[in-house]
Amino acid sequence: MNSASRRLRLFFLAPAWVVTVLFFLVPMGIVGYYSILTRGPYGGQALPLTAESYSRFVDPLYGEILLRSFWIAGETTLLSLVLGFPLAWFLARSGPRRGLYLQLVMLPFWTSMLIRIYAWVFLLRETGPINAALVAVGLIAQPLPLLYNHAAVLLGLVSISLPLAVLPMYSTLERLDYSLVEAAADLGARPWETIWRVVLPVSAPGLRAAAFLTFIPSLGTFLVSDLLGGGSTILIGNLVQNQFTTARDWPFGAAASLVLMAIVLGGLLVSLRRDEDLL
Amino acid sequence: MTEILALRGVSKVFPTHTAVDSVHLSVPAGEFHALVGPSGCGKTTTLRMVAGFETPTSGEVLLEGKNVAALAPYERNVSTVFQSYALFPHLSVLENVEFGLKRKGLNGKARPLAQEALRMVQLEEKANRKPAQLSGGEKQRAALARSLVLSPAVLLLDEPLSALDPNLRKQVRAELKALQKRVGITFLMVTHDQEEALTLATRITIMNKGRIEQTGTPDEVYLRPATPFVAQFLGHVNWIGGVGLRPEATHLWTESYAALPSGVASRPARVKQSLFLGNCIQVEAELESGESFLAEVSRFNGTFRSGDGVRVWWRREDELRFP
Repeated sequence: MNSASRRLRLFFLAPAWVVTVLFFLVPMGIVGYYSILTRGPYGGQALPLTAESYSRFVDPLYGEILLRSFWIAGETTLLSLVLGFPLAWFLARSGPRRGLYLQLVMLPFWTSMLIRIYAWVFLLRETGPINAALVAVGLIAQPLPLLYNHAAVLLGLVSISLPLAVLPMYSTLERLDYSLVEAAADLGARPWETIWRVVLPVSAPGLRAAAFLTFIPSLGTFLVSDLLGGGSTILIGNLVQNQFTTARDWPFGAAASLVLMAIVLGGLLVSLRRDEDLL
Repeated sequence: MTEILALRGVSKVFPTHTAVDSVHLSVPAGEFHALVGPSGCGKTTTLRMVAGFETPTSGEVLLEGKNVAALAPYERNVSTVFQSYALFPHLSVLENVEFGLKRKGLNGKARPLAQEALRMVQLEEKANRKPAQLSGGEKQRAALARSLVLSPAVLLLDEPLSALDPNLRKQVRAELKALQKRVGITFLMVTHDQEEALTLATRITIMNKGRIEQTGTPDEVYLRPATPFVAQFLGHVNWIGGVGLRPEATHLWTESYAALPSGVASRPARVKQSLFLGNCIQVEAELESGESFLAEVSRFNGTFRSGDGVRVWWRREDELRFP
């Protein structure tokens, strides 16, 4: 490479470097630095440097919160994939009306996530339309406690994740060579065998992308668990948020968010390596 | 010969058009049958109705004497070699060939049968490769092995050679014909290439606008086409005063030759241009009426220059007649 083209390369890469350094590496460094500071007696943080915030993670309470976060993010991912796959398949094979259906799938993005969550609060609360309707038809005598439990959080997370799961699966299925499906049937595979043995393996990259796009945001959520779970469901996102607000323990909040990030990055690396093996 | 596949009044009507219009076809066991026609003539839809990917609007598809028109593809004893080969990209070549056997519940015998099929198409060394690592010709052989290993009553081939580059096509054509002879399975092939049909098939069916124009052996359909469409689809036709003639049956005569053979028809003509094709010379000439025609003449018969006065002559038995 001659010096002119090297200079051109630097020129084109510069904006990406500036953004990465300013908005990712510098904040990461600050968070990292905070996580090894000592918490002051009245909030705030100061020297000396210590690993105390990290050692607090051995407390089973936090392990439980982490585990619960992974569990509910896993449930959300699984439900989004299972519910989203048939929808993505339908979209990919819907012919000329595909554009309209795609717009409908993306419709939720036009509304703020906060408003969508409050809509669920409105629907599920004891005086909400679902309970009112059930009482009115005489199915139940007392309103059901639909809100502030694990299921309500899961419902909220799935409703937010579903479009994010459908889009990558759709783009994979749309490119799927349909003659593979016909070939499978031709060779004697029944419809479910065709889906299990051909469609799913061939569209694995799209499924994996969909899983990441639902799992990672669900893992870090604090709005959904706060508003739909009440105090019942503390997730790692709530823990981090609490440390920075009510608890005023910034070093521990910083440490918690870095631990979460390390786990997610580790998972990503393992999964990417497996991708390379597939090729 | 026993009939293995028959179509009885099969039609396929789509919302916008009629793709196949009451087609009758009878294919005896062991035949290599070619369905040819221009694009949109209904040949592919016909093949897809035999495979089970399309359901006929009306009519019967008889496979080994049984009407299978309403059965799903996985309930029919036919197998398809797709134009794109449709090899499963996530499976090795061997696993691709085993796929159909395993769906039939032959789990124990799948491996040896698949290996034998790959040996038959000389692909046993590539058994553990993924389809993406194969060349075009190898992919085609893998697709053939995957279908043939199931010993289908009829093997369906959808434009099997069109994805290959032209140099390879002639070689694969010969291999395909030899393979069909060896396995003895009935082949039904769709192609738009009349040369491919003429060289490969035992019998040819020519389709046009959803209907069958003619079914016959290659020399029948080429030498005695039933309709002007068939004549023109299978090769060039000269129209000399209302008489149809193939270019190779159209001869030229000049003063320097010995007398014309007796009993032949002839007309005066003038040479427009002459093209050297390597194995012959193609002369374009014009009748006094202004109609032009092509004659393929041997390069040993001298040269023809633009403006030369000649006589075009032909034997009466070479005239194409349409009932």
